[in-house]
Amino acid sequence: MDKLSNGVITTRQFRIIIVFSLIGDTILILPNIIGTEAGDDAWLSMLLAIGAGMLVAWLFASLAKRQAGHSLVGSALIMAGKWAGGFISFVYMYSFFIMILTLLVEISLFMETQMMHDTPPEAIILLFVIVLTASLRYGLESFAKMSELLFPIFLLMFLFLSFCLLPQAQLHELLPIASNGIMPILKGAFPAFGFAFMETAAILMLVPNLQGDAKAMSKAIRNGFLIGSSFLLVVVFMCIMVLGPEMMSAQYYPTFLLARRISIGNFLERVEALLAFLWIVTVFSKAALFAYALMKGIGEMIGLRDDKILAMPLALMLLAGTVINTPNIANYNMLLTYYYPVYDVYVYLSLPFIQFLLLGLPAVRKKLAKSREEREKHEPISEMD
Amino acid sequence: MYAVLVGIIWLGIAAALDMPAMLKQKSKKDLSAFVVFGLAGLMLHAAHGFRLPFPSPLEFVRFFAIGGK
Repeated sequence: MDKLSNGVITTRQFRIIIVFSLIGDTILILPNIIGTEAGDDAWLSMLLAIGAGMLVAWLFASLAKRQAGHSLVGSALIMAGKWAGGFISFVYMYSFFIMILTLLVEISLFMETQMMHDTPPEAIILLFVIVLTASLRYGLESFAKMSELLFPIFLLMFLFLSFCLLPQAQLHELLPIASNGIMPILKGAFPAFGFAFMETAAILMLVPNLQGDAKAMSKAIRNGFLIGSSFLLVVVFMCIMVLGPEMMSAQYYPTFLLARRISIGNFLERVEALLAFLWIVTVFSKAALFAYALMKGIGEMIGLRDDKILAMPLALMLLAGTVINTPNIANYNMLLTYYYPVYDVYVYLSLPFIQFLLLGLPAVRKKLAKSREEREKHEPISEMD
Repeated sequence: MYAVLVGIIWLGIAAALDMPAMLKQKSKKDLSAFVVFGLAGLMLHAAHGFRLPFPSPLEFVRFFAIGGK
């Protein structure tokens, strides 16, 4: 386990982590939210969100470049000092923490309402958290390799889902275009923009572990955003064309209903349990990324020698935070639709943007470069013990 | 009650896995961070077990509403 503690990931693995984090829980919950707001114009909202999302990709890529080999928290600490930087880091850490909570709540609500009605949610969450803890303890490198390994399987299953539904797709569901004006489209685009694109900010914690130069890194971020958003666009299109806007807004998990609709020649039926693999993998991947970012961020904030010791206590906190007064599904959906995107704007867009501006100051740049040199001097010693 | 039990067993496993290395390195900061986070987790989990009216951490998001929905 010690061999993997100073994990290095390649840009290819980084890209795949970004794709998974973008798809994440979005594939499961977004079609419902976007369908409720925008109806049959949901695909326009998604296109709009992708357009705005590429701007976020540009912001994250430039911020990652300006971090100069430090993580998001590390650069904030160097920039603003112990107290102000510590406060910024705390805001990030709390947002990462509740991000993982939403993912765990989602997976437990999904299992409870769609597949295993009588299983207590605690049991499902406990199993999920155990796997999450294992991935934290094995370190970033094994997590990245696992994502790389799962990506082809994910791709195959996704293509299987899309092709099996093609016979049922009806193009006329896409029309008429913008019949209710521009407002519903904007209202639908906002949560899509928040859930998919802004929440990917946790990737900025992986910058120190990244192999390759800054150019390759920003390319990986841009490509990852593009690939991930095209998956989401396909899902939204499928939901509108196969289910129709009414069904999309009536069901909490339209993507699961899509998988249920697969029926070819009375032979290929009921593959939804198999296809649930798709979003369990992506939700797990996003949760693991955020958990890793949380563990590393806290480790950097209080200056731990080895942040892996936090894996088990943090997992217990996650377990407790998820089960304690979990909102029911209607309440939770309201929280997600109306409040969470606004919170996302504050924490995952405004704060990184301010940090991006501040990191551009010449004095801060000098500081960052200096502390990097110091760290590189110490690196050979820390690798030995 | 079972929640407290699960928490204690969880922390026991954690201590068995990580304590020896921490004690060997004599890193006080790591040890205290481990204890603080572990106890916080245990207390949260116990609050769930005893059905205390502790707000879900997710409710924090409500402070950020626009226009008072």
